[in-house]
Amino acid sequence: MNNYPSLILQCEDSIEGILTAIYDAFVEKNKMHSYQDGDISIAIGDNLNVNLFAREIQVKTDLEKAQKTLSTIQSRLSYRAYKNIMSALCHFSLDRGDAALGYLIKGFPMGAKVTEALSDPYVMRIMELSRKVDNEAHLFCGFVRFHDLGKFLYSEVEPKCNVLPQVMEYFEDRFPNEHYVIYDLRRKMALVHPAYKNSFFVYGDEWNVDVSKQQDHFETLWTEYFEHIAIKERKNPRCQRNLLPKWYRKNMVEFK
Amino acid sequence: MANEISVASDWDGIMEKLTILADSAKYDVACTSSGVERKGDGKHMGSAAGCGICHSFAADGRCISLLKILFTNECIYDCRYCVNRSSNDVKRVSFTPEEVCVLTMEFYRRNYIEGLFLSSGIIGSPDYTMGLLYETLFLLRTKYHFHGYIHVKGIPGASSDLVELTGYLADRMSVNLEFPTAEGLRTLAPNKVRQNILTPMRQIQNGIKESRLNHGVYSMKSRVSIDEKTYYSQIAGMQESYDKLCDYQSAKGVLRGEKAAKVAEGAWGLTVRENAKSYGVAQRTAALTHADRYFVPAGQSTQMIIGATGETDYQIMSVSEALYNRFGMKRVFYSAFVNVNQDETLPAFREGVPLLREHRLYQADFLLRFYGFKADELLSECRPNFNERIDPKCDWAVRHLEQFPVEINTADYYTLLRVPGIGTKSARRILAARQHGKLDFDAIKKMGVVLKRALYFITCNGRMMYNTPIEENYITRQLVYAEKPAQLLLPDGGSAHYEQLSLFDFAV
Repeated sequence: MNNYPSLILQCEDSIEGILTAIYDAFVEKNKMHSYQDGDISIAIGDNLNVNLFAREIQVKTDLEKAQKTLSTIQSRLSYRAYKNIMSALCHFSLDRGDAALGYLIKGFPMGAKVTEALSDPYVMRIMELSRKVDNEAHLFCGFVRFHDLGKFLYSEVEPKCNVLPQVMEYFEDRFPNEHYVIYDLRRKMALVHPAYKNSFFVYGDEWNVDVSKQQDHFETLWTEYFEHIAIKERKNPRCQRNLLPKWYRKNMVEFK
Repeated sequence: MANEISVASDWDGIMEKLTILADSAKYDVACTSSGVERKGDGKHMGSAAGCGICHSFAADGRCISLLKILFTNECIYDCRYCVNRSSNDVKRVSFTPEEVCVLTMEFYRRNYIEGLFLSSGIIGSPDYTMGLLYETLFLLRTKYHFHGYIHVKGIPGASSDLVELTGYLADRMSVNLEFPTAEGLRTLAPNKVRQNILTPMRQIQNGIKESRLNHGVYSMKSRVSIDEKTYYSQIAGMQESYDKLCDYQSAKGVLRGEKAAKVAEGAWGLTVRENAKSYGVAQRTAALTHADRYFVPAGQSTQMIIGATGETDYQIMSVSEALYNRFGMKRVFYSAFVNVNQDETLPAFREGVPLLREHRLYQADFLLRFYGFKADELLSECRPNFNERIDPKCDWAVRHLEQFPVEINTADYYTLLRVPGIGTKSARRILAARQHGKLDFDAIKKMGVVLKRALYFITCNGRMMYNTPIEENYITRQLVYAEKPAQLLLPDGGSAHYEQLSLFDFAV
């Protein structure tokens, strides 16, 4: 990461986009005579880091290339490495593409052992990023609140990381018999699950469904229960804030 | 919704019951949903995560994971410490099994809860009460097809057949020990009998054992998902490390924990009168008829109230250790005493509930369960209580400075675990990572080691982080300063004052 990159790959801000860029980066790397750490950099979204001496390439998202990258990770590394990379790519930090690329360059010669090589800065960075995402996803498994809209269950969330892909399997497994939608307000992206079927994502403008709420008695019951379950003599808002920071509470019915 | 019909008529009535019975249940401690990993069945609602999931945090900072309610707050017993004692003049209400089921299902599908935690006052007789709890669980599992987590209390004095039938429907069962000393139980809960608490505990323990035999080994490994390869590569090293730890402990004379066992025996007398009725024939037939079900798969837990009867921390930890060793407990919970009845014979704690003491006990409890510590190492007859100013592990470390400093790049697992600031996760990461290169302070910090505590006890490649002396008074002072954030656990955030010290005074 120390020297300036000689090549910048500009890709779309999505998991598929970054995976395509990683694919192209390996193609470019193989063309180079000698590759040094940090020669190729991946720029995500519009955050173009204008660099006088670097060549720039616009990467067009290609699902086939992304899929190839993924299957290579699974076969050459391990399922665990695959999970780590996928989690890390859901983070919001701009260097996640560089970290994943560095991780893979380090990883392919090493094989499955790469997940343990935490003394390498890229491996460590991927561990940090994926830990952050996994932790947040774990919390959202608990903090998502569904409103019963009659026809389906609806939930709004505003996660910092892109946790929907991470929690998809969990909710599908837990509520196979429910129609539900989890809508990420920040990314304008909805996780839709029709009962007994596979979940899928709906992006931005395509999502316009009436989500007006009617009165739900169980919401009132829950809010009241929440008040009563606390022991007054032990009231401790700082501890509560520590465990459930305020930004999580925005869409939780008991805090409204 | 078809479910709603049964309760829709009377929302106010349901609301009243829910609030009263939540109010009576809130002094129960355990609200954990961990210990069993169960995928959904693809048709019905519910699953269970091995690590447990918190769904909210109440104003007292405690996690809300399960719908924690009493079935009824009517009670024939007159326990002095309890809100629901029969001589208290409070409004008494009872749920019906259907109502509990509907509440659980509807809360669950809105993702408010992870499952149900059902306890109850004793209505009519122990058997009648246990029967109601069983009926509720039976409906919830078979009529409503609920596959989530259920924690249910075992009612002391209920017949063993009922306890057993319930155990096949629940994930976790618990029988409250109530107090760390049998003396406390006699004076404060005159209607409860020691044997009635210990017998179902033993029964549940045996049931779990038998169920695991029937279903094959159902160990920690299959319940919590651990990466297999890492697991096996580390397990050999860990075993070696554990043998070394045992050698050390037997040299110190604490391996068998005889002293603590004696203290526990004195405090509680944990021998169970083993009569044929407590488990046996009925147990086996049920195991056969429920060949597809596990008996209490998430294990057994118990809880005790601390600070009401003047017991020492040493007594408490000894009793806990005995419960872990002899009753196969998964968890022991501690609840700081709150004098809800304003009973004059019980301590009042004008300065607030003894939360710090409770916190110290939990810290020590984790040391027993995951860090290979013995109660006798942490406390003794001459030091029967925990240090208020630093946590039990730091306290042990500063009194055993001959064990330090520890070299991060070579030390084995249990040696690493004894360093303050290193936990099970970071110790495992260190073991894995150092096979690929030398570790320095920067690297272990990123792995999650808390350097502000660890730096006095470790070296990386033969060097300490700063030039700090290995000297008891100096390190203690630094650690007391480092622990200031622990004040977060005190309700008003500032009732304890420690002397301000400069962060690093580099005295050599």
